[in-house]
Amino acid sequence: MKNKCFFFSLAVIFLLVSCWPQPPILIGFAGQLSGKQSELGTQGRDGALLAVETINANGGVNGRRLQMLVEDDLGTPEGAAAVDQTLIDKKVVVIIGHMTSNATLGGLKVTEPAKMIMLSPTTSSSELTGLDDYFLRVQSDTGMMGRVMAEYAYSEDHLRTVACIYDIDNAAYTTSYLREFERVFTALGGKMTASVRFSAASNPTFSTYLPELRQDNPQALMIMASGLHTALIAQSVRMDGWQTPLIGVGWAMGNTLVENGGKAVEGMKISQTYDPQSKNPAMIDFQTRFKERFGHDPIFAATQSYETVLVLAAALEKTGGSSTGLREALLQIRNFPGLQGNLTMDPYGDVLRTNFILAVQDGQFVPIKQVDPEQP
Amino acid sequence: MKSMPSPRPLTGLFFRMLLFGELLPSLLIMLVTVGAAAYLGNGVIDRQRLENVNAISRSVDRYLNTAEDVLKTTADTLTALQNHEHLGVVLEMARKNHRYFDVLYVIDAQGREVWMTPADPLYPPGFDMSGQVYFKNKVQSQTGISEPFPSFRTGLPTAIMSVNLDNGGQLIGELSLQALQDEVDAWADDRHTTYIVDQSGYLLAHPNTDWVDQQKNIKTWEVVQRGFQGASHLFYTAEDGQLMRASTTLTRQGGWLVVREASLQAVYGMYIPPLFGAAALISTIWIGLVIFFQRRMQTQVVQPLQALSRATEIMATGSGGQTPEIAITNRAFLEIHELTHSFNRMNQAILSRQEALIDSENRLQKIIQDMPVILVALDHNRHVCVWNKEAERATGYSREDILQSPDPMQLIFPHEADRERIRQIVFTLSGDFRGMEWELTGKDGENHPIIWSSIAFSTPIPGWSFWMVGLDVTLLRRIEAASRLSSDKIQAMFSSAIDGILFVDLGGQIQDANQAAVDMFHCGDHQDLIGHNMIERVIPADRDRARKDRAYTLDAGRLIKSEYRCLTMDGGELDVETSAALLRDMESAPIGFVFILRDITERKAIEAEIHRLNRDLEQRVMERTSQLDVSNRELESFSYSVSHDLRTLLRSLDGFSHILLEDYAEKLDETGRDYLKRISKAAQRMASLVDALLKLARITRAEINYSLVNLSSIADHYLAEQRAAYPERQVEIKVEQGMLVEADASLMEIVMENLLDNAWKFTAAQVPARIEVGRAAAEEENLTFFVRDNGAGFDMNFSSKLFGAFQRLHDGDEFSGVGIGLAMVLRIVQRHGGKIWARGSLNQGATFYFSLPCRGTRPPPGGNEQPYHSDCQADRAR
Repeated sequence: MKNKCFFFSLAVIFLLVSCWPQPPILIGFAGQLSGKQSELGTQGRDGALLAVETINANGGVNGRRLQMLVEDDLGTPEGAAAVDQTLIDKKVVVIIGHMTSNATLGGLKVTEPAKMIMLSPTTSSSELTGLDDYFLRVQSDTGMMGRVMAEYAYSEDHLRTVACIYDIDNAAYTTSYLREFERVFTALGGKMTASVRFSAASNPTFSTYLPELRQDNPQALMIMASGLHTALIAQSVRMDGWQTPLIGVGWAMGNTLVENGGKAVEGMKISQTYDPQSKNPAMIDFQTRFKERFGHDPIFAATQSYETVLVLAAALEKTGGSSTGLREALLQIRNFPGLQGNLTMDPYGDVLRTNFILAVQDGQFVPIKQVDPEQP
Repeated sequence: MKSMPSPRPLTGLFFRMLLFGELLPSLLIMLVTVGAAAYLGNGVIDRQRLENVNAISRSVDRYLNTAEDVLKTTADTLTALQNHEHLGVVLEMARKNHRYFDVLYVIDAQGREVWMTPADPLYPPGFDMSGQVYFKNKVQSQTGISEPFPSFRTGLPTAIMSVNLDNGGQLIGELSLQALQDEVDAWADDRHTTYIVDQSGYLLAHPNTDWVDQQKNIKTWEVVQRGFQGASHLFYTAEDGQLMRASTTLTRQGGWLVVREASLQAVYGMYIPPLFGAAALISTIWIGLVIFFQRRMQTQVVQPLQALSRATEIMATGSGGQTPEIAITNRAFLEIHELTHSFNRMNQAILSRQEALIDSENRLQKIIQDMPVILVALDHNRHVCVWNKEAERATGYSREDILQSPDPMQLIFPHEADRERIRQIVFTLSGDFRGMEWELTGKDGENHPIIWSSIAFSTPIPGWSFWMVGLDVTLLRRIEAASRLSSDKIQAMFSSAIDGILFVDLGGQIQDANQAAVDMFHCGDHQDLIGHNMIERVIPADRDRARKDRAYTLDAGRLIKSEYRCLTMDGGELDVETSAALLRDMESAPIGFVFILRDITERKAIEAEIHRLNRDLEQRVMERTSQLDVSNRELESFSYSVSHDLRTLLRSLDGFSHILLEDYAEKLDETGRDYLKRISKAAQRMASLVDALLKLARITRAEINYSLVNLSSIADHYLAEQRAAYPERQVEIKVEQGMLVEADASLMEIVMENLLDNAWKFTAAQVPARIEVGRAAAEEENLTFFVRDNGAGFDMNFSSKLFGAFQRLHDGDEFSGVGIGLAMVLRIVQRHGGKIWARGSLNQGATFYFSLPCRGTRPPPGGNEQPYHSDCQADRAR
C-alpha cells in the first residue's frame, strides 16, 4: 500500500517535472524592420520566425522551445550596436542578423567583445571573410558575387565598359563588392568608366548623377543599392532616356525592386545565392508555407534566414541549447541540406554556396546562370 | 493466496471523511460560487467590452467609408476635370481636407504616375508604377485595401486604397494608419488593449505602433484565428503567457478584425483580494474545524483505541510487565466506554489467572530448583535447559556454566568413552530407567557418583525432549568407604590387641573373643571360649560383683573399670582388669557387651608389695615426726627460757647499773659513771634486741589467719595516734580510702605501723612533712600499696640492705629504732606471698611499695576460709 502510494507520488512528480515547461532557448533577431528599406529585415524576420515556428511545432530543440526576440536595428550601425546590446542583456544564445553589412559591422563592435555569436543570413561583405571571429553567415561574400558578376558581364554579356553607382550607407557591402567586381572586370580587360557614390539616407535626386554616369557612354550601368534605390535609379535612368543594360546587386533582389522598378528594371542582371524558381521540393514547400503564413512570396532574405535558423537548430541540438560550444558546432556544419542546396561552413564561419546570375523578366527573377562554389 | 489489504489508521479515515466529505464539497461550492460570480460578472464586462469593440468597429468602418468616399468623390471630380493642370489642386484639397490619406497620386492606364501629392522628387510624374501590387491587382481585377507596408514615400506604415478612373488610370491613396490608430486610441483605457488585424494577420493599429511599423504578422495568434472564425468572446493565452479575455468583431469594410482584450489580471484583479480573503477565511475556519474534530477524534476515539491496542499488545507479547488499566477518559462515546470497560474486566481476569499461573509456575520452579535431587532437562535441540541447584551443588557448575557451554557434556564427562556411553543411554534408550549410576566430573575435577533415573519416556514434559533426576551419592559412598575402613581397623585392632576382647550377649554368652583373650584363658582356640557364659569364668567370690557390674553397664551404657579374679580353662586363676561397653543395635536397643580384659595378675602382685612397703614407710614417718615435734618444742622452750633468762639477766645488769649510778655516783669519777651509763644503755639495747628477736621469731612461726583488712583505717588510726603524740609536728597526711586486702589483720597492722613509723620518724626534720598512703597500679595478680614520705630518704645503692635484720642506714642517734622493723615487714609480706621494695634517694624522701597476691586466685591455705574477691577485681577494673 505504502509502496503504491510512493510510486504513485513518484509518477505524479515525474509527470509534473516532464510537463513543466522547460525554459525556452532564447535567440535574437536583429534587422531593419521599419522604414522604406525594411523589406530585407521584415522578410528575414518572417523567414526566421517561420523556421522557429516549424521547429517548435516539431518538438523544439532537445525538447526545448525556441523563442525569438526581435529587434529593429533601423539599418544603421548605431542601431545595430544598440539592439545587439539589448539582446545580449536578454541572454540570447545567438543573434541572427544583421541583414546588411554596415549594420553587421556596427553590431560586431558589441557582439565580438561579448563573444556573442552573430549568425547573419544575408551579410556578404568580404571584409568579414576569413576572420576567426564570432561572426558566421550563410551567405556568400561579396567577393564571390562580384567575381561571378564581373566574369559574367565580361564573358557572357561581352561588356567592356561599365559605369557604377553605389550606396555608401552600406559601404561595407557595396565597396567590397565593387572592388572585387572592378578587380576581376578590369583584369579581364574591361573598364570602369565611372564610380559614383551616393547616400540613400540623404534622399538624393538621382537624375543629378546621370551625366557623370553617362560620361564615356558605358556599355552598362551597375547599381549597387537596396531594392528601393536600385528601382529609383533605374526609373531615373530610363526616364532620362538611357536604355543601357543594368546590373544590380544581390542586396536589391526583392519585391521592392520590381514593385518600384516597374518596367525600368526589366532585364536587370543580378548576382545572388538564391534561385526563387528553384525546383528543390524543400524550397517549393518553404515558399508555399511562407506565402500561406505571411500573404506574400519570400525573397532571398527570408529563405536564407529560414536556413540560418535550421543550421542554428542543428548546432544547438549538439550543445543542448547552450551557447557554450555553439561556435564550434556551427563551424562543423558540413553539407547541411539547405533550401537551395547543401551548405558547408568554412573554418571561418563563411558559407560556401552556389551563386546564380538572375535576370528580371516580367517582374520575376529568372536564373540565367549558375556558378557552383569552388570546394576548398 | 490473496493478501489482505493493509489496514489504514482510523485518524486518516476521520481526516479523509472530513476532507472529502465536507471540505472538498465546500471548496467546490466556493469555487462554483466564485466561478458563477466570475461568469455573471464576466457577462457584464464582456457585454461592455463587446459594445466597445462594436463601436470601435463602427468607427473603423466610418474611417474606411469616409476614406473611400473621399477617394471616390475625388475620382469623380478628376473625371469631370478637363484641365489636368488642376489635378494637383484637387488632390491636394482632398488630402488636406481629409486626414485619412498620407499620399494621394494618380497613375495612368500604363501605370505611369501622373501626379502625386505631396510631390516627391524621387517619384516624379512619369514614374513607372506598373510594378506596384495595386496596379497588378487592377490588372487582375482585384480591389480593396492592400496589406500594410511602409510607404516608399513617407516611410510610415500605410495601406493602399485605390479607385479606378474612367480613363483607365487609378487614384491611389496611401491610408494614414496613424489616423486609424487615433480612431482606436479614442477608446483606450488603462485596462484594455485594442488592435486591428487584417486578413493576412498584419497589424493595422496597435498601441505598440512599432509592431505596425515592423509589419508584425500575428496570424498565428489564437485570438486572431478564432476572431476571424467569428468568436465574439474568448479566453486565450497570450505570447507572454498571460491569460487574456478578448472580444472581437470584424469590420464591414476591409474585413479587418478588431480585437479588444484585457488580461484577466487587469479585469478581475480588483476582485481577487476580497475573493482570496473570503477563501482564506473559509479555509481557515474549516481547517480549524478539521483540526478541532481531528483532535477530538484523536483524544476520544483514537487514543483510547490506541491505548487498548498498546495494552493488548503488552498483554499479547508479555513485554512491559503487567498490562496497565486503561483509564476511561471518554464518556461521550458509549461504545468506546464499554469497550474500555470490557477490556479492563478482561485484563483483570487475565491478570488474576496469570498470577495464579505464575504462583503455580513459581512453586514448580522452586521445587525443581531447590529439590535436593539433581534435575537435568534437555530441550528439543538437545541443549540443556534445566540445571537445578542440586545439580549446581553436586557438580560445582553453575546453571550459566552449563547453559553457556557449547558442549556441556564435555564439561561433565571429560572422557569421550563416558560421553558415548551416556549418549547411548540417554538418546538411544527407548524407555524409562531407574537407578543407573554413573559419575559426573565436577568443576573441582572430582568424580561424583550419581544415581540417575528417568521417566521421560513414559512421562514426557512439553518443551523438554528428555529429562532425568539424579541422586548425588558421593557422601554415601564416602561413608561406605569410611565404614569399610573402620570395620577393617576394628578387626585389626580386635585381632592384634594385647588385651583380651570379648563380645558377650545380653545373656552373658561369649560371642567372640580375640587371640589375646584366648591366650589369657589358656584356650587352644577362640572357639573354645565361644558359647561359654562369661560369669562362669569369674571366680565364685567375684560373681555377684560381676553381675552388679553387668547390670550397671546395662544401665549406664559403660563400665569404666572393674577387676575380677577369673578362672582359666585349664583351672588356673588370673587377675583381670576389665572395662565394658554396652553394644546397641540401630534402634539403640542393647544387644550385648564388649569386654576389654587385661591380665593384671603380675601388677596385682606388685601392688601388694608396694602396699606393704608404704605401710612400713608411714610407720617410720610417724615415728620421726613425733621425734621432731618433741625436738621443736624443746627448742622453743629452750629459746624462750634462754630469752627469758637473758632478759632477766639483762634487767639485773641494767638495774644494778642504775643502782650504782644513783647510789654510788659520788664514789665514781666521771669516767666510771660514763662506763656505767654505757653498760646500762647496752643492756637496755640488748633487751630490746632480744624482744625484737622473739617478736621476729613469733612472727615467723605465727599462723596466718586471713580476713578482710582495711589498710586505710589502720593507717588513719595509727597516724591519728601519732598526731596526738606529736602535736608539734606539721605533717600533711594523705591516705587513700578503701584499701581493702585479704590478709592477716594483726600482721598487717605490724606492716603498716612499721612503714608509717619509719615515715613519721624520717620526716621529723621536714616542715611540713608529707606522708602519703595509697594504692599503686595493680600488677597482674597482686595488689600494690605504697607509703611515701618526703623525709631523709636513702641511697638506692644500699637498698638491698634496707630489709635486713638489724641493718640501719641512718644513725641510731638521729633516728631511733633497733633495725628490725623492715625485716619484720619483709617477713610478713613474704609470708603472705607478696613482695616489698623501696624507691628513694638521700633527702628526697622514700617510697615503700608492697604487693600482696589476690586471694581469689590462690586456693585458701586453710580451706575453711571463703575466698574473698575484694580489690583485685576492683583494681583490675580501674
